[in-house]
Amino acid sequence: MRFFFRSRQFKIILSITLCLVALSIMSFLIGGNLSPQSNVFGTIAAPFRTAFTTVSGWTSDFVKMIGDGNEAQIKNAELENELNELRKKLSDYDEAVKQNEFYEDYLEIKDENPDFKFCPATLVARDKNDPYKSFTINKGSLSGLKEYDTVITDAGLVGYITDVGLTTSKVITILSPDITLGALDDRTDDSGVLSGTLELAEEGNTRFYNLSRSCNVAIGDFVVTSGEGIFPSGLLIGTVQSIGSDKYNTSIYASVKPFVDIAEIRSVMVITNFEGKGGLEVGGSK
Amino acid sequence: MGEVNSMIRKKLNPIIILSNILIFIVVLFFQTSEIFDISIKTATPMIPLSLIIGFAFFSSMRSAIIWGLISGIMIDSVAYKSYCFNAIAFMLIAVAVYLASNNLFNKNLKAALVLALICSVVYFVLLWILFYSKTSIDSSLGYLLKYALPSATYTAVLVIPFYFIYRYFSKKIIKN
Repeated sequence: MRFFFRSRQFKIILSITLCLVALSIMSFLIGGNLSPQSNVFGTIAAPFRTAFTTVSGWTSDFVKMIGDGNEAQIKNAELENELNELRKKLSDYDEAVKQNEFYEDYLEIKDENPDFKFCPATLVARDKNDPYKSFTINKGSLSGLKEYDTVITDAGLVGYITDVGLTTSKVITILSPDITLGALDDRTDDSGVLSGTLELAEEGNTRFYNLSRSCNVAIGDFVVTSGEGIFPSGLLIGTVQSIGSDKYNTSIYASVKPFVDIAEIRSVMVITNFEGKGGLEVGGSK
Repeated sequence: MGEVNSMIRKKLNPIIILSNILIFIVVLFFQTSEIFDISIKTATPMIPLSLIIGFAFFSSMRSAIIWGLISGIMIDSVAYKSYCFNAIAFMLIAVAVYLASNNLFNKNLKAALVLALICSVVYFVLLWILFYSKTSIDSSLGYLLKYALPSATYTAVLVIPFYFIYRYFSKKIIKN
C-alpha cells in the first residue's frame, strides 16, 4: 500500500482532488452558479431526467391509484385501456387542454400582479437526502433564470433559486432553515419572519416567528409574503396550524402549513421579474 | 491481485461493460427521481454510494476513479449546496475501497459490509459537518441522529446486491 502513495495513480487522484477542491471554493465564493463540471453533466443529463421524471410521474400515479384500492378507479382504468386508441387520437388535444388549465391558474396571479414575468418549469430531480425537499427544475440561465428568482405554484410560494446552470436550476424550499423571508398575517397584518426547522419540515410545515406578544395571529389565518427582501409581496404561503411561545417567552411563533404540497410538486412557475425586484438582498445563512 | 486486475483490463466483455453502464445510469436516475422511493421513515439511502462501494470492491483502480468521479458529479448536479463535495467524496471512497479490498481485507461479503458501513458513515458525517451543522442545535443534531446515521446504515446494507452483481461480473471476466 505504501507504494501507492509514490505511484502515478496517486498523483493523478491528488491532482483531480485538488482541481475539484479549487472548483468547490470558486463555486462557493462566486455563488449562484452550478460548478462547471456539474453544469456540463447536468445539461447533458437534463433531457433524460425530464423523460425519466415524466415516466416516474405516470408510474407513481398508477401505483397510487392501485394502492387506493378504489374499485371504481380500477374499473375506470380498465375502461381507459379499452379507450386507449381513441385517447391516442385525442392526446394532442388533452395535452393542449392540460396546458391551458395550468396557465389559467397562473393567469389569476398574473391578473392580480401584471408586473410579474413568469417562466414555467418542470421538476426533473429531487435531492432525496435533503430533509427540506430541495429540487432541480428543467430551466436555467438560457431561459433567463437567475439566482434568488421566486418559485411558486398556483397554490402559493415554493421557494427560490439557489444555483443556476445552463438548462437546470436548483430550488430551495420554504421548509429549509436556510431560507428567511418577511411574512405577514393576511387578516391582522402582524409581521414576522418565516424560516424552516427540521422538526417542522418532517411534518411538511414551516415556522412563522418573531411575532410580538401582543399580536392577534390565530389558527387558520393565512400567511403571505410581506414584500421585504427577494420575494414580491402578497404571495400566499400557508395557514397557521398552531401557535406557541419561544423559550424565553419574549415572542410568539406559529407553525404554518404551506398551501403547496412540496413533496408532490411536479411543475412550477418562476417569477423572473416583478416591480421592485432587487431592492434587498436575501437573508438566512446562505 | 495485480494479475487479476490486468486480466480484467485485458478481457473486458462488452456485455459486462454495457450492463455496468446501464446499472450506473439506472441507479443515478432512480436516486434523483420520485419513482420507487425506498426510504424507511427518515433513512434515505444514497444508492450510488452503495453501488460505487460494490463496484470498487472488484474493479480496477482506474475504473473505480472514473466511475466514482462521474457518479459524484451527477449527484452534485442535483444535490442542494453540494458544490463538488460528492465528486470528491465518491472518488476518494472508490479509491479507498479499492485499496482496502486489495490490501487489507478478503473480498467477502463481511468485508464489503464493514467497508460500506465505514465509508457511508464517513460520507454522511462529512455531509452533516459541511452542510447541515450550521443551523440551530436542535436541527443540526436532529439531522445527524435522525437522518444521517440511519441513512448511512441503510446505504451500507444496500451494498449487498451490488456486491453479488459485481462478484458475478468479476467471476465471469476471470472465467473468460
